[in-house]
Amino acid sequence: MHAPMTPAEETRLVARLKRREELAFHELVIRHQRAIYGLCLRMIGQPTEAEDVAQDVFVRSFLAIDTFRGDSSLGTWLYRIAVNLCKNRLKYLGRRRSSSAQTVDDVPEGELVRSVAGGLSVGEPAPRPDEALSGNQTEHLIQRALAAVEPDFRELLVLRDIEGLSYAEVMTITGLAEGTVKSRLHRARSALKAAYEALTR
Amino acid sequence: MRDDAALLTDFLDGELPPERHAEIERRLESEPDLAAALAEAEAGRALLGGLAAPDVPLDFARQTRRRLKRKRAFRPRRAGMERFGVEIFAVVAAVAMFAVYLFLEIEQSRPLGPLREVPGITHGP
Repeated sequence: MHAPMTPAEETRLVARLKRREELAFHELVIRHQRAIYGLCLRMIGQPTEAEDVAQDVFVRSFLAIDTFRGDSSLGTWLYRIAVNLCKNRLKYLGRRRSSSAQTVDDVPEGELVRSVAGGLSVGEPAPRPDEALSGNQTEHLIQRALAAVEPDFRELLVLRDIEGLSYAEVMTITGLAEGTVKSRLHRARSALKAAYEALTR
Repeated sequence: MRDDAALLTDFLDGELPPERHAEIERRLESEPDLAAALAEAEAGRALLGGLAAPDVPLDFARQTRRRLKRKRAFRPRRAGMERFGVEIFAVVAAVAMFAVYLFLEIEQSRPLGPLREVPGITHGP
């Protein structure tokens, strides 16, 4: 776990990134990988897709570092990119799922999972039997309930209740007004509870 | 309800000033729907509190770096003389200037030797 960077350290890192230094990029990844990968995994729910999107976040942020003006922290800026990329990926996955002729029979066995409504959906890997018997079962259920919440609500749950960001940071990342963030968050929390109950019923 | 939703989030997250917090507590006692809505949200938030931070995949940083390398986005590293050219020149120049300074200092401080006898010229009275 890395200690948070001071503003001066962050300014120096940004300057090195703008000089296209490879080691600066490595430092950026090492410092933020846990937060960014965690966010992507909670948003998307699939480890392979989450890893791909998280890598993309760092690649794109490096390529666009000249547009970083320092109005927010580097971490907040990365979160913003991550949230946008996750939502794009979710849309893409949704389109692919609905437009392809893929049926349940075409999907590998491990990727079938019962949706909250009780049917079968494609994408999220089902817990292995040994995991289902372990203490991870609750966590799997929570992740599945989270995946059942609308992405616009899910992002608030992830940013606020999992990542523990302040409302100011959440507003910067989502571009939403404070009242909207708070009312949506309330509905998101209730929706999560309902989804979890549907899974455990 | 939209206003109440935001208010309940503030209440739950401890964002309200004490007098406003107390006011909501009084309302919760007399409004069962509001109390039920708060309980739902509180339970939802509590679910996420139990999630452990996921482990980052092995080799994530190296893979990401490799991905960016393929785009040739890094400034190429300079090697040897090219990399340290300016620094080496600065050091050599400083050493040279110091050597000149030392030489001049030594020259100035050297005592004059005895006058050489020149035939046909007499020194002194």
